[in-house]
Amino acid sequence: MPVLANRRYPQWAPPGTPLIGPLPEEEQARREAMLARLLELARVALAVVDGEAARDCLRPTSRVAISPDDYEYDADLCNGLRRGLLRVERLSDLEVQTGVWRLRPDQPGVADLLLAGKGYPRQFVRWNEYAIPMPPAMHQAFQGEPGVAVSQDGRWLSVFAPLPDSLDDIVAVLELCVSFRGELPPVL
Amino acid sequence: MPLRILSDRVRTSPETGEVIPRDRPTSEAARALEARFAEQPAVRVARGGVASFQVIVSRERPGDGAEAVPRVSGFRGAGGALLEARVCYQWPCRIGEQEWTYEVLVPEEVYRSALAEARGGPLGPRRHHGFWVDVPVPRDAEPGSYQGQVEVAGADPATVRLEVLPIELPLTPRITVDLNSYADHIAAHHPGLSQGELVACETSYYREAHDHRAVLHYLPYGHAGEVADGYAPPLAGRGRHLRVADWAEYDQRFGPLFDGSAMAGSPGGERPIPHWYLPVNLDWPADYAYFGTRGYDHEFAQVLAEFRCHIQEKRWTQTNFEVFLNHKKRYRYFPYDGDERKHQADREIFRHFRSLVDRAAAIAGAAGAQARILFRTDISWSFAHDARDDQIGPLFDLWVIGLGNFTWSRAGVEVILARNQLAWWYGGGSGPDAPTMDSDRVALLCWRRGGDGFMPHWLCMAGDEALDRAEPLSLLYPGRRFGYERALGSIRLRRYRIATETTDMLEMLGERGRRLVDELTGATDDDWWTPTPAWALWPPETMDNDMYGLQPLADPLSRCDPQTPAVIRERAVEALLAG
Repeated sequence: MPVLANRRYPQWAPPGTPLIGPLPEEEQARREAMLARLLELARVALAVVDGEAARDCLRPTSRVAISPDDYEYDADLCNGLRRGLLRVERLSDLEVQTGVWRLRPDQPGVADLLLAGKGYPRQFVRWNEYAIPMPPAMHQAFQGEPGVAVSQDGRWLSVFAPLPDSLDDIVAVLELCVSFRGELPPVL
Repeated sequence: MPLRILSDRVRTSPETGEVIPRDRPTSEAARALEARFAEQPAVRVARGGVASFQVIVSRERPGDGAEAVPRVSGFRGAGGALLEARVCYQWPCRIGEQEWTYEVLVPEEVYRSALAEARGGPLGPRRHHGFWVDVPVPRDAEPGSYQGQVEVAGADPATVRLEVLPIELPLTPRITVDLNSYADHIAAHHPGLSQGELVACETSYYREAHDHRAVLHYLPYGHAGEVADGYAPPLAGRGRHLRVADWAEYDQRFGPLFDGSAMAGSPGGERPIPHWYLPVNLDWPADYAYFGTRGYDHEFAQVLAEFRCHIQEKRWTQTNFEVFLNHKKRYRYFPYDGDERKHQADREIFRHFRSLVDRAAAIAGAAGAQARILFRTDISWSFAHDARDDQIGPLFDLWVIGLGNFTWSRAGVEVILARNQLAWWYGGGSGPDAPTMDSDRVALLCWRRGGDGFMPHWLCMAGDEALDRAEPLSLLYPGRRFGYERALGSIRLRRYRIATETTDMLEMLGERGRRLVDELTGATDDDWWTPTPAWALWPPETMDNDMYGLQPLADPLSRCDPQTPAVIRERAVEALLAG
């Protein structure tokens, strides 16, 4: 049976883009290959990372923070979501950091890191600072189109992919982040 | 007066050379102690302890402290026995905007050999320089009177007398002073070292803590569960095939701490490090991508069982190896608060991991039965509930309890102690801006309440910049600016050591010790505890920080002259000598 057309995952990278393997030596070609690889990984991630879990894993009590210790997940949904992130990271030989962002309902224009994979996506996340003004590339993803952001110093590359739930509503954004230098920054 | 001998109970001002006003005793008994010391400097010290005093050198013109270093002779006893003295330079630090005092202690040979610009310090050339002198007393030292001389150019020498008491301190203090920190602060404070140099530097931190009868507790993993380089042995395989691949580097790096050889000659006792965080956490050794599966549980238990067997094989059986889950939901990695749990749902994780700890013990069997593996919890919100809960309470071997919760949950503490679990608290430590003997107050408070230890601050290591500004949290500092890639101690760390000597002597007195403390503080047994507030038994989800802030903490010592612990110590010595 062919896959139903409405169940295909979008193709953002050139067809045949590999997730693993050597990258070009020349810098610009290398950067373009890394971007293509992240876009392809994002496509695969949509099949692995559960948008339903992203929508529901944060418990309502977290939004009435009495203290920082009141941040609260639904453990099963959170574990399912994180399991997806950790496995996505392992599908590529890039040192990819993943994270899922949600919109802060109480702060228009602000995005909040909902959950990270093995380490924080470092372009936009600082230690213990998870709510940030939404960058344009992330905003674009919340509008349904993938976004790409390169840090001003040229070090970080992030791809933001819309993460829909079962109703095809964009409920979160998946970030895949790598260092162009190929380094693995310390995990915070 | 160019040379003065002061007791170990006060700090002075590097600007005036005078005792800081808050350190001047106010009670008659404490004033008498100081007056007696001023008349004839003398220190009473138990065998296995360390006698300390201070030398203040005031020169006519401002200058470099290296020119003021006193020569302190050995201390000679009646039979010709000799006790060696160790001199440290007191480093000036700023408190607030106005005040200067001393906190960090630099071995005088390190200070003298440092570059001149490093020696200058934040105040530059000064007239007044402080020195801290320690005289470790071996366990086999002959009791009696010992005498030593302090000399500095241009001043009459001063004589200091030590009275070595016919009392021997226990090798392991009754109260554990726990210095918490996180990997990899040491590498961050000593950048650029080779791996070998870094390990030697790291060992110096453990040793510095141990020399003061404290323990450096260095959490080897971050919030995501990633383990600091070298703090776990490499693994190979997965699932039922997961094994420790090679113990060699782990053993070489940490074995000397666990077999005690790293503590050879330590005035804190020649014994292994008493407590150690294992690298075990939600993401090591088991892979969190498989959490909730049979494979995850097997990986966790199997590797922990290997630790058990290895510990026993190596005879590292005096160290308490701790399984501690420090993860917090707020850091966006895990859905559980292993640390400071507040929500009832988080309790389940502890049942599960206790079962895995027990499963590891079963796998190891007799080959690992002598290993001391403790399941530790750090707790506040839910303490009053969990300590007395028949299901949750028995899960833990070591409870590290918020000071407030400890203070207002006497029944909880007592039930822990009745189960032979360890009860520590965290918090309550003060900075160099507090009276010098405030550290003693905390240790005495812990002992009087029957606690086993305390963690005065959550982070005991500061960076280089903190040397000049008296970081309130820190008790250990990097010696890097002096060309010394080792740990430096501090006056508060010295006080904690002295305080554990006091609590050990009180422990020897048992009930008489408790009565003595009550008598000298004017307290009754109940005065050491705060009655349990009604909200402490509410569902923890409903509690907030304001409740904590508004709750007074009982502490009879805080009502007394800050030098009262010195009076208690003196009276304890007299009671022990009287038999």
